Amino acid sequence: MNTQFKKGALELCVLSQLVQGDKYGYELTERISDLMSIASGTLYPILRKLKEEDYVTTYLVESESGPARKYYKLTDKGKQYQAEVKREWESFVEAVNRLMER
Amino acid sequence: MTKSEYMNILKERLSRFSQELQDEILEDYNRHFAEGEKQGKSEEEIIQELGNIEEMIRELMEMDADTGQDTDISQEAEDQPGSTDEEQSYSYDCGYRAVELDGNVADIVLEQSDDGRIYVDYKNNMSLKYRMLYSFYQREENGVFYAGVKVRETQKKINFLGRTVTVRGSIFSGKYNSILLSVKVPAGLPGLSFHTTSGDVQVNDIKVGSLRGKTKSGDIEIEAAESEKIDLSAHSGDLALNDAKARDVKMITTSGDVRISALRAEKLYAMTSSGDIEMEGDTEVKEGELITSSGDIDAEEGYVTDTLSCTTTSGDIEVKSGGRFLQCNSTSGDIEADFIGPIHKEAGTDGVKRILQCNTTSGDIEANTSGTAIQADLNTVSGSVQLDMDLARGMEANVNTMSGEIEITWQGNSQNVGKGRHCYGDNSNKVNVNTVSGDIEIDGRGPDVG
Repeated sequence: MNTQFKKGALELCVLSQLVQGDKYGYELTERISDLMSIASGTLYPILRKLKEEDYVTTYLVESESGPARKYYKLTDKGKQYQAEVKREWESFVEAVNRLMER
Repeated sequence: MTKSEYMNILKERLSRFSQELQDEILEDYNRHFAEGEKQGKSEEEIIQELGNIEEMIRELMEMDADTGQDTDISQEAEDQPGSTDEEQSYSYDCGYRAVELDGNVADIVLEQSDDGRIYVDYKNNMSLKYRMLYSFYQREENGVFYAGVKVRETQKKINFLGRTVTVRGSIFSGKYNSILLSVKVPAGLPGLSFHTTSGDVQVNDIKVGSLRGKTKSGDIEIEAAESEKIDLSAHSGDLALNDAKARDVKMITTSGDVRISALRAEKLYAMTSSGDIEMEGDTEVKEGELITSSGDIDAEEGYVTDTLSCTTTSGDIEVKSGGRFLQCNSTSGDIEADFIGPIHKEAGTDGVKRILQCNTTSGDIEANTSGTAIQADLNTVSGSVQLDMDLARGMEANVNTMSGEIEITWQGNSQNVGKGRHCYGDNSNKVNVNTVSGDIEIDGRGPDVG
């Protein structure tokens, strides 16, 4: 798959997962890799980029054992961005679907 | 691979990025491991899940480029010749004038395709840690198709007098031969060449314009090939050629052996420094030159139709020729040289002079000839000489030894003779034998005597 395309899609997946509520890194990668075959490691650069662009913020929560969990939370800017990308995606998918049916 | 090995590679591959980024990604991975372990997953499973580090690094580099940070993407792109995936298969239309393969540490298997296309299969069976050090590449340039295995280079950015300097270097070298490059090329391809460092090469059943192969420590084995030119060289590897047809064959290795069988060639040049040279059954060569320094030459089962010259320093020589000219030189080895049958039709008719020259210092010489019009020069210092001549109509022998005995048998009658010139029959075979301390024995059997 085109890497730019795949990256865009993955970014949307991550953002959409966060619309439903804050999640920590491992949880996010599990959810996505359950449905898609990806190297989970590649999601961390995406999360980092989303943070740099202020679409998400992070906070730590102590866990009963092991290191603290880093939670990702969507900012208002991130919410807007997700809605925008989602619309783009939907119209793109719709176009592709129509073209496939013809 | 263990977690710590994986994390070490990650650390190494991250070293080009800012400290802040390195810390964050390492922390993310460590957290990931901790969570996975909590779920009862093994280190190996978590590594599998996190996946290829290179892929993640690429992601980071692209993001750096997006946000205009310090890494030079164009240079990085050069360093991404292909993917590190375990298995890759390609097929191409073939309008190329040549195919060049560089297997590096990989083994290569070369075969013929039956639909005129080129097929390349890359299979990397190394552990993840080493797999990532190699990648497959293919490109084309000026009508030549190139494919092979490339060693990845690591890049390190260091701060030097306030400037960022990129340091390149390969992190590992050595032999981890578990990459296999299987290639099929169409019949009639004008040029085919391959190169490996430690990988072995096996060529099966191909028909090309020219075939050139080179390896450092790998072996090359060719089984059924047809080509104008076959040119093989190795450093410490062995070279083997079986069932081949060519005009020109050249095989050179430093410490390996050279083995030739069922070869049809106009010219054969085989050289090794410390290995043996063996020419086995069903070989027919017009002109041969076999050279080794400390190895033996065994061409007893091959057949030479015109000229053959064999040279060794400390090895023995055993050869047969149906041709016109046979020369054997050794310093401390023994020589066994035979002219067999009547002269080969390509080398001339029965009246053409056949020349046999054998020289050794401390070895013995044993020679057999057949027919007449033979010029034999046999020289040794401390060895003995024995010459049997079949179907000889006559002989003029010049024999010399300082301390040995001389026995000449002509048509069944033996006698001990002194040194000097001895003539029998029509004098048509000229024989010169010299030794200092050895004995000389010559047996001439005429056409009427069995």
